[in-house]
Amino acid sequence: MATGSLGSDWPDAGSASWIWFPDQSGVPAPAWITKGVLAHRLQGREGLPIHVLMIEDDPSIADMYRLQFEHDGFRVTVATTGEVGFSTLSGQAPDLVLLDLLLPDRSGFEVLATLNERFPTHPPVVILSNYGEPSMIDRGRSLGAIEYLVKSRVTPSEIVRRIPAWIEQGGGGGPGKS
Amino acid sequence: MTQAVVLAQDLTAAGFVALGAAIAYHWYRDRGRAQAKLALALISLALVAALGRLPSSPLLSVVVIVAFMLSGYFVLMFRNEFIPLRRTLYRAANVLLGVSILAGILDVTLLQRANPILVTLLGLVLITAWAIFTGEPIVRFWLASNGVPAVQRARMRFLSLGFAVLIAILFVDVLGGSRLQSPTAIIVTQVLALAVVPIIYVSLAPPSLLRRIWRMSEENALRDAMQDLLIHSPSREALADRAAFWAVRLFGATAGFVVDPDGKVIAASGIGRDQATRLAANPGQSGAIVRAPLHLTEGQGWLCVIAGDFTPVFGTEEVSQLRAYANSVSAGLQRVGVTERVAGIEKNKTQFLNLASHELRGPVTVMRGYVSMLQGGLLGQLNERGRQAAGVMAAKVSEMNELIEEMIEAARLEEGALTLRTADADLRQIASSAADAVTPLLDSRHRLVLDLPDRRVRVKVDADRTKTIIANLLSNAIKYSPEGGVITCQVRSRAGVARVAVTDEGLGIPRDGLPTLFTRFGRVITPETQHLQGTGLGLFLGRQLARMHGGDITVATIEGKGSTFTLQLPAGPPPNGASDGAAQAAKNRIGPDAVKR
Repeated sequence: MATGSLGSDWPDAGSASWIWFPDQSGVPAPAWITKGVLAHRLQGREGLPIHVLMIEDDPSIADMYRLQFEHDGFRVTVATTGEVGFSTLSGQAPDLVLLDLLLPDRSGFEVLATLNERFPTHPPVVILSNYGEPSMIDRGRSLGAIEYLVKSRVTPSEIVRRIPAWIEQGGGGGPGKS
Repeated sequence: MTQAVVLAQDLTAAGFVALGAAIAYHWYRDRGRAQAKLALALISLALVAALGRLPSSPLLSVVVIVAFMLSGYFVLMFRNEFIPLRRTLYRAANVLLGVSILAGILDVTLLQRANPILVTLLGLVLITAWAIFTGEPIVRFWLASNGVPAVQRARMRFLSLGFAVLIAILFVDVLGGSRLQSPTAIIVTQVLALAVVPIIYVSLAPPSLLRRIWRMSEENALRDAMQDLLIHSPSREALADRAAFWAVRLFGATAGFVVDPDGKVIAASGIGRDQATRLAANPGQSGAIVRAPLHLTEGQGWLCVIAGDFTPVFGTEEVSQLRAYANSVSAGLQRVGVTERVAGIEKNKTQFLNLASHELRGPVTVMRGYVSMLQGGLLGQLNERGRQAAGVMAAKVSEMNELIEEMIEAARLEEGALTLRTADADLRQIASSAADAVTPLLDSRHRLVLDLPDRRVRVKVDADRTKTIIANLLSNAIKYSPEGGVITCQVRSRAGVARVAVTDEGLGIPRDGLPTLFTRFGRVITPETQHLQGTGLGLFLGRQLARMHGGDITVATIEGKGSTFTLQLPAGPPPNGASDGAAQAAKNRIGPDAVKR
């Protein structure tokens, strides 16, 4: 027998540089936290902050996620088209790609297929879409996306909580790693 | 014997006069060029027969000869209406007519007393000319009758037969000469000639009994065609195609097409659409087109057939048949139109539901995200009232999200695109996570009790959807318990059936609301529930999904006391074959016996 309780998003674990408490605007996190217990979670390659590439053309969604990610100490690059996403990947490779499916220049599936071709060791890709059709989920996964989430069913904080696991799961990246 | 001969001759003459009168009347009723030619031929023949009974005189003989030759000539002209003669043949026919009339006149005037052989020869010239005028059409009609509908075929053959008998009688008469002048021979030929009258008459106006007999062979095919038209045709185009095909076949036409009220050709058989469109634009241009109106709600269309070389030979019969068929075609097209409109509306509705739902997900994503950030303090700290407001907003956004998910799921279900992703699962865990999901909806007056057995409840289900079903039952229990109370979610498994029973102490459901409870958009609205929001999709979807799993949802309710909704699913075998009956018996407050519709 169990009585349920509200699974609140509060407080969201902490961040690289700020820790939140109720009724406070946040305090800097002590160095031992960032370098110790949470280091694995919060740091990407070569000890730098985790770098998330969000390929998303809707600015209201991109801004919202940027707010959450930056708050949690991640580095965020937003690409509004698939092409901009590719140029980001050829520069500073991110640790994770969050990919929308409905983009102005091509579909997210095409972006993913091109990623597999042009960047065989690309970082893990998580699809974030407004579409939840089973056929699309299957297609996304068969193209190597490690997760397919419907945007309206998740909050940015839930995404943040799952990012470290995705990065770990993605490992070297590329299709077939899901 | 002489009297018998006279009687036979009088009867034959009367018969042909009657035939002439009948065809004149038919032509008066239905005036066509071809009918006019045939009428002239038979009226001339009637004249020959009638004048032949008068006392002979040279003038009368001349008139008889002219009428006789014209009767043959007009049979050829009747044929000329269907397949025009070549110019040379037409001229030759005119010359032959002139020459034969001249020979006939000479025969009965100047050469009346000449050598009998010459007289016979002249007579032979006359008969031969007449035989050429009528014989060629007879052969053509007989040959062409093979490719036309049964009634028309019989009529063409009867006409051919009638004239063939007349030709035979005339030849025998002339060549036989005095040897056939015995009373018996005259009576026999007169009776034979008399028999031609009904033969030709039925070819012009066959009685309905004969038509039925002739048509019998085609009845089955026609019945199938009608059935096709009214039952099976899947689309307007397919139906119009079949209508055109059968119109051609029924009418013995060379081609047919269907024109909609806008003048667009929607089907064509035996003719290209472009050509049909041209003909439809100028229907008067070709006399060979027969049109029957199609009475449709959007206006008047046409079922058109293009007459073949020999169709319509006789006119009204086929035209009225075509009109009757066109009425059935109209009915079929109307029905298909209505069906297509309904299917279109249904499809549009599903598409709208789908599109609207996907479009709604975008804004909901942003609202949900920011509300969670507000609650999390990420956007700055809120005061107590702000936190309360954020909580309400979070609950409402979550509700909106569920409605969208329900709409998408319903659209998917209607498209037949809903597939389950089943896997082995523990129903206790699914029920727990469903309970967690609805916890934000609880307020201080509600208490949610999760009653789970100690042993695993194995089910093979689509876990996400099963969670949605249970969460929906729980959120309904909360929503319809406005005064609060205990809500129990009890999971049990017995005899191969796993059950999740959600019981509340709320409003209950009035008996007359039960039939609509599980229908799409079927909400039970009472004064107590009218302010509560919902799409009426939750239980509909829940039951459909449960049934897709091989289970069901049932309800037991007492108005004013509360309800128990039970989700039943096929249970997998218990681990190690052990029974979980003990755990179940201990807590079995809502047994299966309590579950009824």
